This record gives sequence, structure tokens and C-alpha cells, in this order.
Amino acid sequence: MKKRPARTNRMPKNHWERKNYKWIYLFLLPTVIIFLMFYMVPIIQVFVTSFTRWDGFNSPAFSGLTNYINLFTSGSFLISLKNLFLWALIAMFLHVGFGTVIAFVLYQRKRGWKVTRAVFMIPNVISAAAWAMIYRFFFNNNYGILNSVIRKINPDFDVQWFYQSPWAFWAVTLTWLFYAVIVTLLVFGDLMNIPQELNEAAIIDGASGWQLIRYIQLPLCRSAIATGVICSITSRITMYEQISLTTSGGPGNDTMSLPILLVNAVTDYRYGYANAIGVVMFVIGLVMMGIINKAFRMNETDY
Amino acid sequence: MKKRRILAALLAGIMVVSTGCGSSSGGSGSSSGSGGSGEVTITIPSYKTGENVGAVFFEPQVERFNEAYEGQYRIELENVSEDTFNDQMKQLAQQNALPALVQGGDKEWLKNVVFPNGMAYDISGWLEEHPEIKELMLDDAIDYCTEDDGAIYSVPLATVRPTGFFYNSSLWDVADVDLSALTMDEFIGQLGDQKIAFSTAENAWVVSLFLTALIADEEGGAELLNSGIDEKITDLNQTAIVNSVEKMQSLLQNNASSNSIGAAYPDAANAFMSNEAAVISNGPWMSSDFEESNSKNWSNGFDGADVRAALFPNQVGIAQTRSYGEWWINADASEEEIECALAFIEFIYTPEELEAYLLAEGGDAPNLEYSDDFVKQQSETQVLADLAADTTEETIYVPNILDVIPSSVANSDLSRLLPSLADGTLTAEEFCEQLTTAAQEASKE
Repeated sequence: MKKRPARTNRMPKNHWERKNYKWIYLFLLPTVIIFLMFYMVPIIQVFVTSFTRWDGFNSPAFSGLTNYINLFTSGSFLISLKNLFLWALIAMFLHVGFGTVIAFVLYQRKRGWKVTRAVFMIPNVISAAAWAMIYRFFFNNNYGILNSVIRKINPDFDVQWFYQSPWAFWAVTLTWLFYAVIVTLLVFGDLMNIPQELNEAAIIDGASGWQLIRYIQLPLCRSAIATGVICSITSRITMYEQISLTTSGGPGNDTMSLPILLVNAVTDYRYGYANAIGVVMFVIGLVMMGIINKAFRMNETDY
Repeated sequence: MKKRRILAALLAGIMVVSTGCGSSSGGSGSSSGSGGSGEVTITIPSYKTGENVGAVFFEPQVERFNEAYEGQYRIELENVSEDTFNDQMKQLAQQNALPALVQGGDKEWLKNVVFPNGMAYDISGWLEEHPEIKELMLDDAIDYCTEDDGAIYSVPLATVRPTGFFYNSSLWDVADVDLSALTMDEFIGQLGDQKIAFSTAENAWVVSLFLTALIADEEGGAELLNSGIDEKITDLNQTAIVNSVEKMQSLLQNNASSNSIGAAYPDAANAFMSNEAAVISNGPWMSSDFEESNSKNWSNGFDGADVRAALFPNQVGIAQTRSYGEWWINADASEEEIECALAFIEFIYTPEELEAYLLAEGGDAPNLEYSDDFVKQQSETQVLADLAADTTEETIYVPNILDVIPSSVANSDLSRLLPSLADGTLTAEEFCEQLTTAAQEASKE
């Protein structure tokens, strides 16, 4: 049997397609320039200067791995890595889990679901710094709502949530834990895109409500959930305002984080050291993205 | 088709040009020059404008200068937030767009970049020509501002504003006791169970002032603090500091107002001005808070007229006389602009202006012979009169501990560790050990 020649995707371009390329490149140029100027160059600069001693004013002086050695022998850095690991786990399971559950609840489209969705989104328009200040009042020992309510039951209750171990870690966690609107919107978007025929076919085959979620809807939201996990974990890596405006990383090192260490280094004019912390944050972010990409098989299509 | 291609090329060109050149029209607004009338005008970015507390005195002062030199010199102010002021000065310097007259900038930047790189105008010759001004300046300030080659870039200070504490005499009736003459132990004994409005958040401002006073009271403590001006203190395990922290812990546990832990300075001020605490420490600039015109901030029966002030026990006043002054002149300014800047400095160092400044913001000009009118007016503000009475030749000046330890320790680590000191999780020794670790890490090359 004569084998048919394989069809190639590389079809010869006609005259107009070839002419259009230069316009495409021309219109892409501003974006490329912006990317190079505001992203690529600073990132390269951060990497290069992380191997230098630099006060931010005078020329950097090459110092080899000194900044990294200082970093990995710093107690505060190791604790901030441990905190990041714990916050990443909480973000992945509780924060994303909560956002996903809300998306599935909204997907049922019961009465009032649009209002609920709008209300759930409101906290997202308030800045993290403003939330930190709100929580300072919420957790205040003297006049905060939380302790006032607890004292109705236990009049002797006396906890400084942000300033006592081990509560400070959980108080900081609560400042972001339930604000999962990004995750909700991502998952909700994927749920809305599921062809109705799929749901109907499953129901005809006798799938119960839980089975419909477990075997049809949840797998089809895989990419959105993975994106939510990436967003929430990278937010934990860069989390600054919530800590700086509440505990400053304390009490002790209970809520210490990499951005706090980075800003402290800048305050001391140790830009080389600060950039070494920046590089570590960057690498952690990339590694996390790679792992999540693999774990959730994000490159595979669903339909 | 041709028209569409021309239009597309034009649009793409505009996008490229706007991307590449979008920032070329930047500028500080700190322009200067001489108008058609021959009046030299310089615009200076300043944080002492608008709602800033310093604007109350500074803006009218600039107006007085403009009136005095009408037709010759004029200064216009550009409002800059105090929080971003130092960063903005650095950005202007990088763009070579500094104003002719520059207000401050952070010490490390001045010391390591501005002055060594010839960015500032040397006023030493001008000072020699104006001995009446140089005589008013503090000896320590002149000494600190004089470079190895004899150049003087930063205009040395003529005034010192020692920080002590304020107390509410209706809660703590010690008006007949000379509190600054007591020892620290006598003071603490006198304090009994009165509350102090501490702040432990941000840079723990009120705690830092009391801690400084406690260190200065220890043997060798004042010398230790003063040594930190030239070289930051990175060993906080020293006996004077550990003993002081131990006393601080006791004050936090027994005398702190109920909102002290986690309180920022406004929270502490609020506790004091609502009769929740009898004592607060802050600089003399706080005196305006106790004037009737600011009574809207009072509550719980607080009356500003009841407030008295004193320096810390053993006549300790927290002030840094060995420091750079508030002003310096841009070396790249034109001759006319430099003349205008020098005229302004001469103006603000006149006895009348110095006295007006002291009446508005408190403090002392040790080398100035006060007018009778000034003395009379100063005595009308009780707290300023109290501080003036305590400020004598015997006064021991020490810098705030925040200024003599690494910046990150002052601005972050101190407030991070104070709650654990207050609740007893850390002992004084452990607290000092952790601060030392942080200070040494911050000082690594």
C-alpha cells in the first residue's frame, strides 16, 4: 500500500501573510521594549548584584557567595522559610479549598447567588494594608470585636493575638485565609464553561450529585484550581503588608517572612544581600510553579 | 490600502516613541531661575508643608523671607510627603535635578554619597565671613559637619531640642518635685503605679525614649550612647543596656497603659490625652497638642493646662548635637541661586527667627542671648517653660538609641521583640542577645 505523504503544518505563506509579519513585529515591539526595560533588565540586575556588596549608592563590589552564605546561616531566614512552607500548605489546602467550595456553591445558582458572589468579591477591592489595619482593631485585646465576644463567655480571657506566641502566626494567617475570591472566580469560570451535555449525560447514566462533582466537574476545573494554587502560594512568598503592619515578624520570629528580611536589608543599605533574598524568592516561586504545573497536569487539555 | 498602511505605521510609531520617550519630560518641579523682574526664584521640595506639623512654623517663615527680600529673592515650596522625602531627594540627585537649596536627606546618603562626590556647596568660607551666624551654631554641630579638609557642606544646627517627658499633674501631682534632679530609681519609686503611655509598634518611639534615658542613667551609659553616633552599636549585651532593659521590662509589666503593647505613637498619644496614662515621652514639639486650640483631640476630662514637662532623671535630655543640620546647598546651582540660598540661611539664623522657631517648636539655642520678649512669651507656655528651666549647663545630652543601632534593628527588630519582653517570654538577657544577633547580621558586609 502506498503511504500517503504526511501533511505538514508548515504551509507556504502567501504574499499578504508574509507582509503582515512585519506589522505584527512592529506592534509587538512596544510590549517587548516594556518587558525588557521593566522586567528583564531588573531581574538580571537582581541576579548579578546578589553576588556583590552594594550599598545602593556606590558601585557594587563582587563578593562571591558571601550574601548567600550569610543568608543560609541566618536564623531568621531559616524560620522565615519554615513559615513560608506552613503558609504555603495552608494556602494550598485551606485557602484554595475554601475558594473552590464557594465556587461550587455559587455554581448551584440558588436564589441570591449573584448577590453572594458580589459580596464575596468586596474584600478584594480593599488593599492588603487596609485589611491589616482593620485586623489590628479586630484582634485588639482591649476593644477588639473578637475578644469582646469571647469575654461574654469567659470574662478573664486575655490574649494579645498579634503579640503572643503561638497566636500571632494564626492571627496573621486569618488576615488572608478566607479572602479567596480569585480562586473562586477562576474555578467558577471553568465550571461555567463545562458543556451542559456532559452534566446531562452523567445524570442520565445515574450519577448522583456528589459523583457529578467528584468525577465530572472537579477534574474539569483542574487547571483553574492549579492556577489558584499558584496565585495563592506566590502571594504567600511576597506577603509583606499583612506582617509589617501587624507583627513586624514577631513576637520573636513567629511571623518572620522573606519580604520582611528583604526590606530590613534595604533599610540597612545592604542591597546585595537584599537581592540575594529576592533571588531566593524568585527561585522558590519558579520551583513551586513547576511542581504545581506537573502535579495538576496543566499542559494537558480537558476537551 | 496605502492609507491604512500609513495609518498603521503611524500608530505603531507613536506607540514605540511613547514607550521609549515617555519619561523624558520628567522633572522635579524644583526649577529655579530669575524672572523678567530680576527676582531670583528657587523652588524647594519640602515635607514641612500642607498638613505636616512642621508646616505650622515653616510655611509662614518662608513667607516672611519672601516679604523681606521682595524683588530680589523668592522661595517657593513644593509639597512632598515626609515618608517619601528622602527617597525623592535621591531620585532627584540621580536625575541631576536637585533644587538649589536642599532640606536634609538621610545621614548615610549625605555622608557616603553627596558630600564625598562634591554634590554640595562648601559654606565654610561664607561662615567665616558671617561670624555672627557661626557663633550661634553649636560647637558639636560645627565639629561634626566639618570634613577632614575643612569644608562644611551641611549647615550646622544652632538649636537643640532635648526630649524629656510630659506628665499630667491632675493624675500625678509632683509639680513641687524637681523630677530631672532625681536619680532614675528615685523617679521610678516616685512613679508608683502611675501609667506610662508606651508605644511598642513601628519603631517603638516612646519605649525607645525611656530606654535611652534608662541607659544614660547607668554607669558609662551616656558615653556608650554617644559613641554610637560615629559607629553604630552592634553589641547590645553590654551591662548598661541589659540593666536598662531589665528596668524597662518592669515598667512595661507594671506601669504600661493598657493599650501599650502593639500601640503606635498615635495610640500612645491618645492614651495620654484621654487620661488613661499620666506620663508620655516625646519631643517639645508635642507642646502644641496641649494648647486649647487642639482640645478636639482630648477626651475623658483631659485638660492640656494640667500637663507639665521635665527632662529625664539625672538631667538627661535626649538630643543629638553631633549631627548634620537641616540644610545644604546644591553645588551645581547657579551663582544667583546660591546667593538666594545663602540669604535664606542667613535669614533663618537671625535671632528673631531662631526665637520664633523655639517658641513654636520648643528647644534651646545655647549660644543665643534671648530677648526679654522671648523669655516672657516662652514662660506663657508651661511645658516649654518647664523644659527650658531644666535645660542647663549640667544637662547631659544623649542620642536616642534608635539613632545609634542599625536601622533595621531600630525600625523592625525592636518592635518585633518587645512584646515577648513585656509578657516575660524573653528575659532581659535573652532580649539583648537577640537584638545583638540582629544588629550583627545587619552590619555584615
